[in-house]
Amino acid sequence: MVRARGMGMRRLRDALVGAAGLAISALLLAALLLVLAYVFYGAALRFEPEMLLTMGNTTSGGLLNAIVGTWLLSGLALAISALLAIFVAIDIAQYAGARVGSLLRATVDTMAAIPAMVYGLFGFLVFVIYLGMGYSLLAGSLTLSLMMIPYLARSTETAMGNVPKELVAAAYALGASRWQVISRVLLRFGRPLIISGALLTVSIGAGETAQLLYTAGWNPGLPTWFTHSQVGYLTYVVWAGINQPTPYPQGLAFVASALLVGMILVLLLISKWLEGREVRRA
Amino acid sequence: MRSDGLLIRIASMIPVFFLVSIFIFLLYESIPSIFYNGWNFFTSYRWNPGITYQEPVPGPFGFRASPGASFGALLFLFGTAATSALALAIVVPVTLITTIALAMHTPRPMSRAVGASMQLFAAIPSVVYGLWGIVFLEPLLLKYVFPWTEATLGFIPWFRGPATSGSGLVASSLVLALMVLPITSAIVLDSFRSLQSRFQAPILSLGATRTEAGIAILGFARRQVVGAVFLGLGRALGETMAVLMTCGGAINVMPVDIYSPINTMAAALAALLDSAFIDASGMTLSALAELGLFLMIISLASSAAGRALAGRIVLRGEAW
Amino acid sequence: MMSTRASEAREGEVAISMRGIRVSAPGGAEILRGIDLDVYAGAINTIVGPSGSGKTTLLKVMNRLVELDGLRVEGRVEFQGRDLLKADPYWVRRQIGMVFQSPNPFPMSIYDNVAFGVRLHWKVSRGELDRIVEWALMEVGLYEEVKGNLRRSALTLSGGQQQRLCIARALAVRPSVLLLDEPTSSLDPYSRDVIEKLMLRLKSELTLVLVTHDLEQALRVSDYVAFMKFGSIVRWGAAEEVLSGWRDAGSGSHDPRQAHNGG
Repeated sequence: MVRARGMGMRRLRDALVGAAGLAISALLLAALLLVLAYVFYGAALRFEPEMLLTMGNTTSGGLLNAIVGTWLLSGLALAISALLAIFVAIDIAQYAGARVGSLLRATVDTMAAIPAMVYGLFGFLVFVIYLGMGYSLLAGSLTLSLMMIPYLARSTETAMGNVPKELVAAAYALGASRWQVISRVLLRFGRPLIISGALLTVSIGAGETAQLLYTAGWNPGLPTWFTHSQVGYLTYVVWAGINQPTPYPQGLAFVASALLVGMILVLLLISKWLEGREVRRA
Repeated sequence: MRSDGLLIRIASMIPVFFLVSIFIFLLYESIPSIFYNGWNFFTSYRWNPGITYQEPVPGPFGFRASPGASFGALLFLFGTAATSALALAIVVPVTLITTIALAMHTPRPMSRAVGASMQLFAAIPSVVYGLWGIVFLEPLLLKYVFPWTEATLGFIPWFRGPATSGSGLVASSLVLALMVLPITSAIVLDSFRSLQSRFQAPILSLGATRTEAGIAILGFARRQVVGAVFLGLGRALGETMAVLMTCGGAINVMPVDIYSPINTMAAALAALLDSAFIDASGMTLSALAELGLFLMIISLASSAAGRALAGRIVLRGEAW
Repeated sequence: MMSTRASEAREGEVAISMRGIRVSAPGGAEILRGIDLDVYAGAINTIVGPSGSGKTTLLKVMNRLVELDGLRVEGRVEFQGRDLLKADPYWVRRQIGMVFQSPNPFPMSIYDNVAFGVRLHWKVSRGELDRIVEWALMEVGLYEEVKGNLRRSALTLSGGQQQRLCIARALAVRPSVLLLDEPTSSLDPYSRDVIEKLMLRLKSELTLVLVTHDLEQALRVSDYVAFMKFGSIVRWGAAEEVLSGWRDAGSGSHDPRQAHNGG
């Protein structure tokens, strides 16, 4: 038996699905914009200059220590992870055979899938307790750097892969050794994308909390040394401040959020701009 | 030259060493709890560090804990499962329908703009989502949504209430959904686009509507779609701060309805690690390590499944 | 019944009549400049020309795929008594099927590929669907080769078989016109031969519009030929006249009796 499907019904379904899908997409964008707007508006309402100019704990004072702390933690974590990630990327790209290559890739992929709090737990057990650093800049940065390694390894590998093959071939043809090709060609011409990836990674690191809760501690001032001296950071202020019953700490939380989102936005934009330039050039 | 290769190899093996040591440390630290708590860990919801100011006493297999200690993580397992399930229940249909709408019903530049903004939202810190959840979402739920669900769905016991707080399953699942959505949509839309160029024309030339074509192409991408769901699940499982701030922090009491406070593994880890310090026997720490180990294993399993099916993993910021 | 052929053209009559077809890109670039063309029923109408001449675009005007590329179309295309540029695009696409340059079977079984279009438009019982699939596969001469296992993935077929499968898939919805966009350009000579013979067989049941850059192929199969260059038709008419003139032109002698056969 053969019956035609009414074209009317099909068009109706088509129009409905299209409209519903677009409406939901618009709604989602609106919801996400709402989050941003809410944060910035709330921060603007509660802002006081002393928040940016003084240090403080999460119930009074300012965010200066937390701002510096966030940069210190992310910066040091970037340095540590960059050191390791670049070598992983180089090894995969140039030296490793199939077996070592897939081991490294599997490692990177696995590290990317480990939950943040598990890193936090590990960092607490190993860096803070067993290695005896105590809550400190070093413990926090090391824990954060573990999370960062997959991001950097991936983006560096992509960056090196983006370098035109002819350049690499030409360098080899001129008699360059493998390391020379890597350092003078791949890393040099891949630099914009490597930096782009690093900026992206830092932006993610700046927004992390779980890794730092039990490794960096909290400090109403600035850390005095890499170990045995705790560090304050912005995401902690957001968490601790918003849970306080009084308005001022909540204001600190809002302003800290706005600062975080602002910083991340800027880093992301620069990162994408660098990436866009490279892609256009290639 | 072998020497530079050797140095590189040594350096690149350090992360491998770290990964292995993560496993080993967590396993080592959880052994006391694994033996002391046994299956109780997975079947009981009572999380009891015992009387921690007293001397630790030996328990099963000779491991010592504070008197009366018994650690059951069922509450956290349940909360994780429930929030992830609810979040995915929202994310999957939304992803599918928005993919069809964006890929088939909107002009390219617009859908690319939407994609770019999705990438931005994936970069918003978890605590900021949590803040929004606490200050905006929870009051909204408590004042408008829950009274409505109590009134209209109250005949079902789970919805009867009364709700006393905005935090709990609904708030944390919603926040989770918002955070997982960029990831799954990125992968699904990406997979769709790679098939679209080849199949859109022949499908449409047979007389299909745009939606019918979209559904057909999604069908071709079935594997990647399932993979995207697993990858989204992996993200949901590990999400800590936003959930911590919106779940209500339940301990030792299982939820009775959808308005009850709950807890997840990651959030519980963050909240309870504090209490490990006062437990001289170290059993609390060990129990938390076991929890962390279990969380890590299921997260890795989910991500591995996702990678196998979707052919890739997802790092935040590289979605589009 | 599945199709009403009341307003269909009979053999020898004009099936599709295009007048003043202009296609331009959003930026303003003109791809087709005022095309007039008649497509004859029950025949193989060929459009030849160098790449970039706009022949594929002209084809896509006929089944309304051109608007999906964001291009603007003006003019009138008379088909079965209406202007198909203003008619329901879904109806147009069901009446006018298309086969593409590279074979693109769906990642499904052979059966599901052929059944795809049918399932879109009709609610068919299992038995009826089996018969339709069998018929379509026989039309393209594939049935004997694949009947052993129709559940096999279409991707296991060879290139030539896949292309014939795509033709079967298009035929399954019983169009009255079949558009073929360089259907053999990615195939080996043997498969090309098979498909050319298939086209010659099909023309007794359908109207075919073939786009090709292969003059030899045009010589072998065409009833009518149109030459395109830079978005315009420079010559069109019955195959022998147009092609023999071209051949003579190629060998150096010009026949002043070139026929510009108007519609």
